[in-house]
Amino acid sequence: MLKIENLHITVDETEILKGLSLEVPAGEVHAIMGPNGSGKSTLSYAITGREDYEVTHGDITLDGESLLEMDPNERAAKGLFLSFQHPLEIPGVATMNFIRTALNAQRKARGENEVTAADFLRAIREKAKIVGLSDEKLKRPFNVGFSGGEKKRMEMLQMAMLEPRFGILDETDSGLDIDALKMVGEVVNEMRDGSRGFLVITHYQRLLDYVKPDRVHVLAGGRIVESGGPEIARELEEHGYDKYIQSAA
Amino acid sequence: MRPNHQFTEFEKALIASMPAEGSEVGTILSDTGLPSRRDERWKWTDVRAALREEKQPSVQSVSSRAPLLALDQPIEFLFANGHLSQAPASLPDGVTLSRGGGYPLFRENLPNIATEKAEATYVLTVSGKLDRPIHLRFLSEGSGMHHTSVQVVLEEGAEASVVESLEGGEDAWFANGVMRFTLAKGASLERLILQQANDDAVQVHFAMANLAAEANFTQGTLGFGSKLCRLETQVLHEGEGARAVLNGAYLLSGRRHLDNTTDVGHTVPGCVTEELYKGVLADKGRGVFQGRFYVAKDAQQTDARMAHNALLLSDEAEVDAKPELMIYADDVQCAHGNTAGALDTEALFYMRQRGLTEAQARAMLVQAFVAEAFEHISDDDVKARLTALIETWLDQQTDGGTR
Repeated sequence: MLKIENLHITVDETEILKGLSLEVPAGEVHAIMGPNGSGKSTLSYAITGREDYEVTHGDITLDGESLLEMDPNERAAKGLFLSFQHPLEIPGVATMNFIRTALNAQRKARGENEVTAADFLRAIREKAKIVGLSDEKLKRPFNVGFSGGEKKRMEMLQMAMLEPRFGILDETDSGLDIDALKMVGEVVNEMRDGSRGFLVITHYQRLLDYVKPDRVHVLAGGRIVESGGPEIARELEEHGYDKYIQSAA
Repeated sequence: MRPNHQFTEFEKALIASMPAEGSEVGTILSDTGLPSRRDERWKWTDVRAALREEKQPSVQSVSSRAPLLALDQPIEFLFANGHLSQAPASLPDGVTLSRGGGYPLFRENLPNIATEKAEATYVLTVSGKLDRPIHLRFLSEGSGMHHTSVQVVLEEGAEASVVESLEGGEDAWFANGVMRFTLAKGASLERLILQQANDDAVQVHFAMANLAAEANFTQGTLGFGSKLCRLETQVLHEGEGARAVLNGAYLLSGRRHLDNTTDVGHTVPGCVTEELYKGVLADKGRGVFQGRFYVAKDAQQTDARMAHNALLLSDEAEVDAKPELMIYADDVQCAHGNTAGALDTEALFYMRQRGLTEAQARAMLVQAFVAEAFEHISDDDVKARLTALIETWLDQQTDGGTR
């Protein structure tokens, strides 16, 4: 489903990803673990098309279609979703209006009908309950005055509403307590089916107790240096990244 | 006469049109000419340079057009090229219309010229609580010049709202207006100025508001600029506990120019002024913001805050801002802030990652940026209509390919 081949990414004239290859088949959850500065967030931005992340070599395809020439919103309409590591506050932008505009923009781009206001309201109320955000929070300007945990809940709410075909969770677990981790697990597991894929980027093993990965990859020095089953995550938790940092250098 | 001052054809004709005898305004005008970049207060808005060619007085009629802002049951006065061509057949209780005169001169030429050259100074006096808005529609057309002068008097404890829309058709007209607001003790006025004109028009709209004790003067402005446009408001707190809110937004594209100048004098203790202007500049738009707070020695416990934030959507747009605090009292709270920046690229990426097109994301961020300047408006319908006007402007930017 998502295939990354020999990806080289340069940011501000510094090469961050140096030949990264990765394939996540439909229906699977893959985890990417790695030390700070290994290029984890760069990978998530490169997949979703952030400006200034220059692809110098390689390709990223979703179901065989290259994403590289697509704008971020075109990639979103193809079904890519990124749960941001540091979600933004957007003062003055009404939360419900924003999510509904996003949903309908994607649907329009795919040639689907827009969602009615009533259907949207019903869906968002139901899903807000699952992620643990109150009505009052939905009425605020987007993320304004939210705690770090609430912002991550808002990311999960958007993922649940937008129903992407491929979700990237960039350190969604950072700053979350156990209840919130469970909630993330609930949202992802609810969405898991034979056709959807997920890439879970994390520094720690603990989120993987709730979102069970099919494969775990270790990212160090801009490349995948090891791939295997969930046992790799446990090993990392025990021994840390030292081994990989040395081998990458 | 100013040494070495080369009068333009426009100035010569204007001077010639003033009464030959006994016109102090005419005498001053023939001494100083029109304001230009040589005058500190007009250095960014050179009226003289914008009006070089001779202009005839405008014909006193214009073609009819739908109001820029539809209001609920307005008490509407239509000024067609300066001429009061429509007024309600009967006015509600508590409102009277008369003609005034004998005003002291301003230190500015243009409002004095407007007072002298207008067909009359119309005086609207309001007592009690007026529940319908007064709508002053200043319509301009053709390539002549015209002047208006209106005074709004709120008697003790009166409440009213006044909307001034400055609109017009094509051609290079020059509209020069003066407004006088007089608020007696405890009176409350909500003023809204809406300005939209073509690329060739020149507009100067000046207002002076005198506030007695406990009076409330709340002003909102939405302007889209013209060849050259200046909206100036001077406020004088003359009674203790008076409060003024001066908010505004401007959105400029093409080569449009809009100057928002405010000057607030605090002469007595315990007055409050809050000021917030938001500017959005595309293409080669040029915004000017000049804000001055004067706090006299006796005006203790003054609370005056001013902020101007500009959003530049193009590298070729320009904004000139000059906040000025002149404080002679020692027990006051005064602050000013001024920023100019571009749209937040991180927010743009975030929104586009969710599926919004670039145009949608930009529009939503611009609306959010501007909205703060209208939070004070109590009427939700009016607020929604202002938002719609901003949306239209944003749509035009996308269609016009200004990105």
